[in-house]
Amino acid sequence: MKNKEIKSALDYYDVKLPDEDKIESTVLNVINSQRTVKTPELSFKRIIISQISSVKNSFWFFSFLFLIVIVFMYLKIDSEYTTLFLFSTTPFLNIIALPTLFFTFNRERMELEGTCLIKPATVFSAKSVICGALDLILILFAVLISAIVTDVPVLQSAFLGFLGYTSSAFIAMCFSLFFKTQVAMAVTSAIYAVAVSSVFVFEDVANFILNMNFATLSIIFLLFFLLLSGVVYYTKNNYKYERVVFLYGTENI
Amino acid sequence: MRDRELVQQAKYGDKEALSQIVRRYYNEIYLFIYRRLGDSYSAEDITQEVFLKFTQCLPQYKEKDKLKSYLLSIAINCSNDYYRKAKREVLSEEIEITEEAENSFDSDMRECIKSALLQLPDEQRNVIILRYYHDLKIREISRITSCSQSTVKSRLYRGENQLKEILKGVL
Amino acid sequence: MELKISNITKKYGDKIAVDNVNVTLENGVCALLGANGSGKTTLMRMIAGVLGNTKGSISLDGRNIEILDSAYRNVLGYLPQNFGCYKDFKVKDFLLYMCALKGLDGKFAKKRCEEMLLKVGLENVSNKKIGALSGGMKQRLGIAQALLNDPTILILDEPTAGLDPKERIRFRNLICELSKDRIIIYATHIVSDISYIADRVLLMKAGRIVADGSTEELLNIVKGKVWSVDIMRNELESYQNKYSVGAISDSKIKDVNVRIVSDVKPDEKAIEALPDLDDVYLYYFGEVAEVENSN
Repeated sequence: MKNKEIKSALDYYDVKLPDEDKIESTVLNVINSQRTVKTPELSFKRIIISQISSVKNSFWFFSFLFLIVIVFMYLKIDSEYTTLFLFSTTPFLNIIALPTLFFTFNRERMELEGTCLIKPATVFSAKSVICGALDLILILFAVLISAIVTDVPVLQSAFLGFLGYTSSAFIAMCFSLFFKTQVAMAVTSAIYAVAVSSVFVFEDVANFILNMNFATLSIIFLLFFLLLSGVVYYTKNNYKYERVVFLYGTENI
Repeated sequence: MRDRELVQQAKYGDKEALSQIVRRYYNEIYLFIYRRLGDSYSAEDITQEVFLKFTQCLPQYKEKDKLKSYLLSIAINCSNDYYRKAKREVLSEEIEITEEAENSFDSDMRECIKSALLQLPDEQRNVIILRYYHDLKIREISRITSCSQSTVKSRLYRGENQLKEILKGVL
Repeated sequence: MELKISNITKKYGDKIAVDNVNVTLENGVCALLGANGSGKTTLMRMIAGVLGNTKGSISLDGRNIEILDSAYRNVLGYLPQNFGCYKDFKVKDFLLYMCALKGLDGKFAKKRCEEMLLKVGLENVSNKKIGALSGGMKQRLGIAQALLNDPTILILDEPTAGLDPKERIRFRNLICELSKDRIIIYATHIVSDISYIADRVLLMKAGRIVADGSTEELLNIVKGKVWSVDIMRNELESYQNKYSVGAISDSKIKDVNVRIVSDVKPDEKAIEALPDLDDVYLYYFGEVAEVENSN
C-alpha cells in the first residue's frame, strides 16, 4: 500500500519533458545504430516451420498414399508377409524425399539462396527433419498396426521397417553426393526394386529375414543408422554453392 | 500495436516498430532517470543510451519480461554507471538545495521534493521512484533491481520514513 | 561502412578467373565494367560470399566476412546474373519464401513484400507466376528480393540485361535512390548504365582491375587520345585494321565519320574529340562496347 501523505507530496515533483525534437533525434540515433552488423536470432524450429511450404507436393502425396496402403493391406491381409512387404517399401519413402532435399538446390537457386541469412546447409537440415519426421511417424504407425494385427514381434517389425529406411537413405544420400538427384533416385530405386523382388521371389530369403536373429537384426540396423548419421552430417557441412557447382558443372566461370 | 508484437517486429529489423518502442517509452525512462539524478542533460543522454543498449540486447530479450520493466532495468544499470562517476558533484549540489529548502518556508514544493529524493540513499530512491511514480508492484521492482521482495519492502519502508523525516516541516 | 577486398584471387586449376584484386568500397555506387568472361561474375560471387577464394580476403569494417558469416549475409542483398529459376512460384509467394530465408517473418514479412512490390512497380502482378513475367519484370522482382532485408551492401550482377530502354531508366533511378547510405556494386558490360549513376568505375579485364576511378578520372585518362576523322567508305576497312575504331557515323564532309582511340594522332585530318565512356571502353578492351538497344 502506498503512503498517501508521501504520494501527495511526491506528486508535486513534476518534470518538464524533453521536446519532440529530442525524442526524434534519439529515435534516429537508435535506428542508425542498427546499421551495424547485428543478426536476428533464429530458432531452428522457426526455420523448419518456414520450410514446410517448400516441401514438394509429391512428397506429401506419396506419404499419404503409403498411409492408405498400410491401412488397406492390413485390412485385407494380416500375415507376416504383409509386414515384410510393407517394410520393404519404406526405402521408397526415402527416394521420394530426395527431390525435396536436393532438387531445390540447383545451381541457380543455390547462388541466390547461398547469400541469405539462413544457410543452405540449415535449410537442408530443416528439410531433412521434416521428411525424416513424417517418414518416422508413418513407419511407427505401420509398426503399431503390424503389432496389433499380426504375430510379428513389435521390435522385430520396428527394426525391419527402420532397417529398410536407414539403409536406403544411406545409399541414396551417398549417390547424391556424387551424382545429380535424378540419377541418385534412379539408382537407389533400382537397387531396392531388385532387393524387394528377391525377397518375394525367393521364399527362402523372405523366411530368412522374418526369422533373423533379433541381435543380428539390431546390429545391422545400428550399423546403417551410424552410416546414415555420418552421411547426413557430412552432407550438411558440405552443402555449399561450390559443391553444387561441382555436381552440375561450371559454366562461364 | 501491443508491445509484444512491436518487439517481435523490431527483432526482425522493422525500423518503424523500433521507433514506436522508443516513442512509447521515452518519457517514462526519461522521468525515471531525471528523478534519479536530478539533471536534465544527463537524463537525455542516458535515456538515449538505454534505447541503444536495448537495441543491442534485442536478440536476447525474451518477451516474458514486460517491456517497461526491461527498459527500466536497463535504465537502472545505465544510470548506475553515471551515478558512480558523478556522485561527488550531486552531493555538493544537494547540500546547497537543502540549505535553501531549510531557509525558505515558501520555497517551491517541487524543489523540496526533488532535493528530498536526492538525499535518499540510491537504492531507496530507486524503489520510491519506481513505486510511486511508475506504479510498479513490489514483485516487478524486485525483478528490475535484482533483489528479493523483502529487500524491496525494507528499502521502501526505510525510504518512506526518511522522506517523512526530511519533509517533516513540509508535509 | 567499408568493404575491403584484399588480394582476392580465384583459380580453377590453371585458369585464373580473378587475379589479385585490391579494392576498398565505400558508400555509393560502384560499377564493375568488363566484357563477358573478364571475371566480373566470379568476383561478384566472392563478394557475395557464395564462392570461396583461392587467395586473399574480404572484410567489412575490418572484420573478415568468413568470420562474420551470418552477420555479413544479414546485411547483404544479391541479384545474380541468372535469375529465372523460380518459374513456378507466384510473385508474392516467392518474396515470402525469400523473406523466410532472410530471417524475416510473420506480419513484418508481408508488409515488407508489399513495400518492395510497390517500390519496383510490380504490385499488380503479385499473384502471377514468375514464369509468366516479362524479362524486365523478372529483373525488377530480382531487385525487390535483394532489398527485402534492407541491405547495406547491394550486389547486382548484370541487372539491366534484357531490359528495354524504359526499364533501364527506371533501374537507374532506383539505384540513385538507394545509393545514399549503402554500398552498391553492380557488374555490367553496358557502358551507358554507368554514365548516369556510378560514382566510381572499376574496369575489369582478364580477371584484373585495369582502371579504377570516377567517370571524370577515367575520361581524363583517354583525353587527348580520342580522334574524329572523316573518311571515304572504301578506307574504312584499312582504318579498322590499323586503329581502334569506335563509333561510325554519317559524315557531311565525306562518306563516314569514325572515332578512333589512339595515343598518337592517326591522320593529318583527325581532330581531337572529347572523350566519352565508350572511348574509355575501347581504349582498355580494344573493342566496341555493347550498345543498350542491341539487347
